[in-house]
Amino acid sequence: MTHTVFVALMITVLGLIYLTQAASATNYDYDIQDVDNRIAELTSEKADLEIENARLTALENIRNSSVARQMTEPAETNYFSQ
Amino acid sequence: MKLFSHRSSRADLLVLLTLLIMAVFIARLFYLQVIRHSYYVELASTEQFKQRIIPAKRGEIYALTKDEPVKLVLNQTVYTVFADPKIVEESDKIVEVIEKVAGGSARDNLYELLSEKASRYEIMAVNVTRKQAEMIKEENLVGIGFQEDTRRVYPEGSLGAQVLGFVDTEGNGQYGVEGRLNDRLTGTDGLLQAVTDIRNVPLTIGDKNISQPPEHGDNLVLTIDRNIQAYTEEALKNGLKRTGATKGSAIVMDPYTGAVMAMANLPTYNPGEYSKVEDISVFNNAVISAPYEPGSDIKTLTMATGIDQGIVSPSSTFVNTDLIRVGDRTITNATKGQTGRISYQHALNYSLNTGFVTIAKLMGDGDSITLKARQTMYEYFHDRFRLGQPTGIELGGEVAGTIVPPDDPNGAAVRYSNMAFGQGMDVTMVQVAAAFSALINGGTYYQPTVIAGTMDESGEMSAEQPKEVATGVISASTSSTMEDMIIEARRAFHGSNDTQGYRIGGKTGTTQVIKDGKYVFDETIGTYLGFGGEDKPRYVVMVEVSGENKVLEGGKHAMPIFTDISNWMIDYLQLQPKG
Repeated sequence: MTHTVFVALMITVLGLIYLTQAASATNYDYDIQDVDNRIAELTSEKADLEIENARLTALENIRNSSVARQMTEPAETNYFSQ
Repeated sequence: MKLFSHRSSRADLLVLLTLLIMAVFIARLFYLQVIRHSYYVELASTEQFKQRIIPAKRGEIYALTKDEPVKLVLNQTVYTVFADPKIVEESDKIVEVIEKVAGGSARDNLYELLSEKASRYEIMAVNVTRKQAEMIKEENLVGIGFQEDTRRVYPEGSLGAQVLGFVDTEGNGQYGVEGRLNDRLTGTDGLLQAVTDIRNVPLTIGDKNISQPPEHGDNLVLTIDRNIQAYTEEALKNGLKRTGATKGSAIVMDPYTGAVMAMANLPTYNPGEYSKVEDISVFNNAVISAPYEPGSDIKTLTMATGIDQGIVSPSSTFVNTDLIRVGDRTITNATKGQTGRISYQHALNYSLNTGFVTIAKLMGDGDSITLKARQTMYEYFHDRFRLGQPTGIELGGEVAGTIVPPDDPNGAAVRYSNMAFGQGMDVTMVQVAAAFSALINGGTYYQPTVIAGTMDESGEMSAEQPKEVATGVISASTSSTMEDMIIEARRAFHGSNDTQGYRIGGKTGTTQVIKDGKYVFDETIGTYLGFGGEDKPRYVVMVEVSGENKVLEGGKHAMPIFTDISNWMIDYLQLQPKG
């Protein structure tokens, strides 16, 4: 009788351990999913920023910038050997 | 005894009944778990396992600014905003929000679309950016959904349009690098197969999960220099405005690697708005796909062939009468009056056809362009300088052109006499520029290329080596002599506008146009082919201008564009003047 109870307890404990581990693994899956989503979001943001950067540094924008408009042709060019 | 028998029979009946019920359960379980095992396993897999394609990212395209890569074509995540009119609740608010946030990306008839109650899917706006999509999402509009997509973005607008090509709505590259290197740019999609929960979150349980990451497309770094490309396009545009030409093309190459630093065509288009183009011929890159008779530019190759064969030298002479007979044809000079005994340098300076037909004759018996002469010319033009065959440049739509072989019925002496001054053949600008590079670089033919290398995810560039196709196309001494001759040809008439202190050479070309199989006199194509540099050539530039019913000349219309680009290149490359 004692043995039967002991075996039943063992099975219950082992079952609980399995369930805890499985639930824990699933929780990690959710964490991973959250991190993946965040990575995708940041990658997308980075791509948008790169596009913005590329647009702002496009030649047409540089040419039309106030700095470029104030530039003048050099009066003289001197060359020197490096 | 009777009583016992009665009790026993009831117990037996109960046992029997229990066993029967158990047997039914066992039979049912056996049926479900053993006989229908495969069916239910498959059903469970269908419910629990989800497969998701992980799309490979299309490779981005970089140009160079000197040696520094700069992005020319990027990918942007965009969204299509759609509505399910059947469940939409606040039409006014939806229209207000979408029009306010999406602006020009929104459809014009939003109310009409939302009133289509029989439909479950109506597109409200396309190409909505991530930020715009987030702003719309924040409004929690019932019945509004988002579909993710990727589009190509061209921050430089139309810069290098025909080199780049575009990506169509199916995601396939068309024309240019996008078309030719579509497979390299596309990559391979990945796969994720896993047990998922009710929200489709993949779980690590199960032993059949597959995670195969995508192989993203190659990020290509072009040899195109953004600044040289922009200046070449600008110079070409100004040149066309000055001359009244309606079409123009230009190529700038490094003669020592075959790297194309700029390749421009006008008219052009914006690859980001390719669907708005009315005349699809602007998609074609004329530099590689429009064979033409190159005209007098080819005289440099004829001269080099003669020198390399030991037949003529710059100072050797011939008697020029402004006309020369070949078979039953008489060939004349466009520039007349340089008659008498003159040198071949003189003939090159004045672009005298008679001088180059004489060289062709000298390759034979001196009187006629024999089979031997034609074979020699074919060997140099086709086999060595590789005219009339695709160069292999990594751009879609390259054509071969034609050099008629000497044993062809159409490859007789008259044709080869014309070929000596650039008629009777069809070649592309890139072929001529690559051949000319071999002519002045010591005799090595490099395959023209627009690919400088690839860029990895960490931003490290792997350079691709120049493709040396053939050495000894002409001897080094012939090449050196030709370099001097071409510089002299330019100095004779066109050198005054050059930045002084550099070795700049060039040759004009004016080509008659063939219409309905006959040369016409009211339309010519003007070209100019030249190089510049310090002790050795640093760039080759070829320019072509044309237009319907326009008489355009190499020296008058194409040459100033060359000069403009050449002088700018000297400053840009920071070349040191001699002396």
